[in-house]
Amino acid sequence: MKYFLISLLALVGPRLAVAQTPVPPVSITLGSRHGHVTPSRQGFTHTGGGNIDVAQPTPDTVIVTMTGVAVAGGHPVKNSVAALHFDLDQCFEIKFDDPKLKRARLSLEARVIGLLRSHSKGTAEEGSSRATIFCGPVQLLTLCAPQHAVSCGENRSVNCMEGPVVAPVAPGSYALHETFVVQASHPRSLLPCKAASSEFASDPALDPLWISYWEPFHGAAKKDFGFRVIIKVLPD
Amino acid sequence: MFSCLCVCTSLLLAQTPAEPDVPPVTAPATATNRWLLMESLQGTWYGDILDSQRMQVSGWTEASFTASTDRHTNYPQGFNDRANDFLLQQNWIRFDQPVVASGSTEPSFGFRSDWIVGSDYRYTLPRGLWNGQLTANNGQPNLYGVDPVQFYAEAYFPTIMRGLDIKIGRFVALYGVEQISAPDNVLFSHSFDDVFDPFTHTGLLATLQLTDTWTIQAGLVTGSDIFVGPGSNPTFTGSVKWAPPGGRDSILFCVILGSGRFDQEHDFNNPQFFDLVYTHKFNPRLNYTFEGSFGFMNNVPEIGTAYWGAGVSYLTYDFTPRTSGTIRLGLFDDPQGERTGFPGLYTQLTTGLNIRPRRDITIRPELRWNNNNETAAFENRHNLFTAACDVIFRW
Repeated sequence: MKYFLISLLALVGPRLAVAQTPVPPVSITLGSRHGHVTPSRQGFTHTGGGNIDVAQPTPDTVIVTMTGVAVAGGHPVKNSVAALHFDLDQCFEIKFDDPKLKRARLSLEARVIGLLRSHSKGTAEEGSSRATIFCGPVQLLTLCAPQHAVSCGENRSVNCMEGPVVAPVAPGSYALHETFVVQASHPRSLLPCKAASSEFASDPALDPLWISYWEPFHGAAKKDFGFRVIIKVLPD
Repeated sequence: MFSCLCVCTSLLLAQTPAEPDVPPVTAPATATNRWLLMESLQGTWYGDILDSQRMQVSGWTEASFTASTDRHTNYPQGFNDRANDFLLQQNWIRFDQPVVASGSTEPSFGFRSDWIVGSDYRYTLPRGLWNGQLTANNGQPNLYGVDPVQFYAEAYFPTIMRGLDIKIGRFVALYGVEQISAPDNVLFSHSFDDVFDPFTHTGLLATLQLTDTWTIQAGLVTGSDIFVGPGSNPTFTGSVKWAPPGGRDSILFCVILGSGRFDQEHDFNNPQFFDLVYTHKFNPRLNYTFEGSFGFMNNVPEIGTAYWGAGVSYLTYDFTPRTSGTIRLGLFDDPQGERTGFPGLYTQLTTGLNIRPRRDITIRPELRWNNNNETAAFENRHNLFTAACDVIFRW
């Protein structure tokens, strides 16, 4: 009987522990959202991905991920430009679920992970990676990840993190405004010329046939590619 | 004891599954059958045009040197027939759009255009297609020339039995072990029956896969080694193949059934020809192949009915994934000399290596002995020894 009880405890113990995870005293409730991704292409180009993912893994955390790919190669008669412009407005409300709680902090953190490739002529870049939290007309928190560009045969693997920046907050309504741009361009070229690419999305956004067979980042893990912003509210 | 088992089982069940911490496998950069040219074009506008239409441009270059006991020519040994000389045998250029043979139930269409630029054209060029090259050198062939060795349109219907493939144009003959295309042969030199039997046909060919094991082919062509024009003759070519998937043995039986009469007006061969290929895999490394063939033709001037036959055995051992060795023992009986010009029973013994230091480079050194028991076919000798090597670079 004793061993049976031990078995039972071992079986249900961890699940009880999971069930008893404390509810955070402060939480975020997502509100209305307006987001769009605008591709623009001219010449010999490819764009892929173009996702804005808003996730809330826990009540006090929101993760926004923007992913996309832009490729431009040498077209024999015209210049090539490919770009994806991301723009998001996300409203949210901060609630104090614990009546004893008087103050809280809002933290904002951003990271950009991806690959930039160029060959003899093209240019690839990522930029405008910016996240701002407004409280009414007031900018409460702002983060700008550094811009990166490659050209003339340069290649670069980007992995940048900015923040966290923190500000005290009260219960109420807030808004997140976030932008991101991936872009590639290539002048016209009669001779075969490999494409420049700005890759900030996981497979299969970028068809391998669009990049060089001897690409310098072969085998890179791409699951975390993109511009990711993490908003977290913490009791103070 | 039962209680202990209960505890252990409970502990195991209680474990929350761990997130797999394995990075995702990224998509392969390209298909494995891409070679240097397509690899170089990948990511360019021209490469995209080809890839988007399922087209490829590829090929290879084959150069060889043959040391010989003869002074000038190794003939009737074919293809590498220049004694103690270099040859640029094949610059093979392939432009094709393969049909989609798997993963789809929709019919698909394609084409292939293969060109030989090199010395091998002298053997493969058909009657009626750029034959001026064969007499341009004071009545003799130019050493180097051009042969569009294959050009056909292709359609594939995956829902008819296990797949029906139809080709219209010029294509290589169905039979045999050895091929015109150098990379498809384990040994560098060609056996006599490969050199003196038909290479290509022009016409219509249907290939029907009945089951996973059985495949049949049937075609109506203009004759053997002839394009279109005087001398063309309606000829049937067909084959039956038995090759169980994963099996150790396979059999391929082919026929070429034409008029069987030598065309004296146009001085052209119309042989009847039968060929059987049997393969056996002793183990993953050791393979045996046997080819037996027989041909005959009536109405041959000063001969009447000419006939010939051959039997060739190949034993191949894979020393490593990149190196194999092959022994080939071949008999070719040409009793009236209608095929080779020298009557007799030819015996040839060849041993060679197939070395692939890189995926795109193949080196094939070999030693070969030839004998004609009846006629001094090799520059007034009965025997010929050659030591040869070629290099194939695929691009």
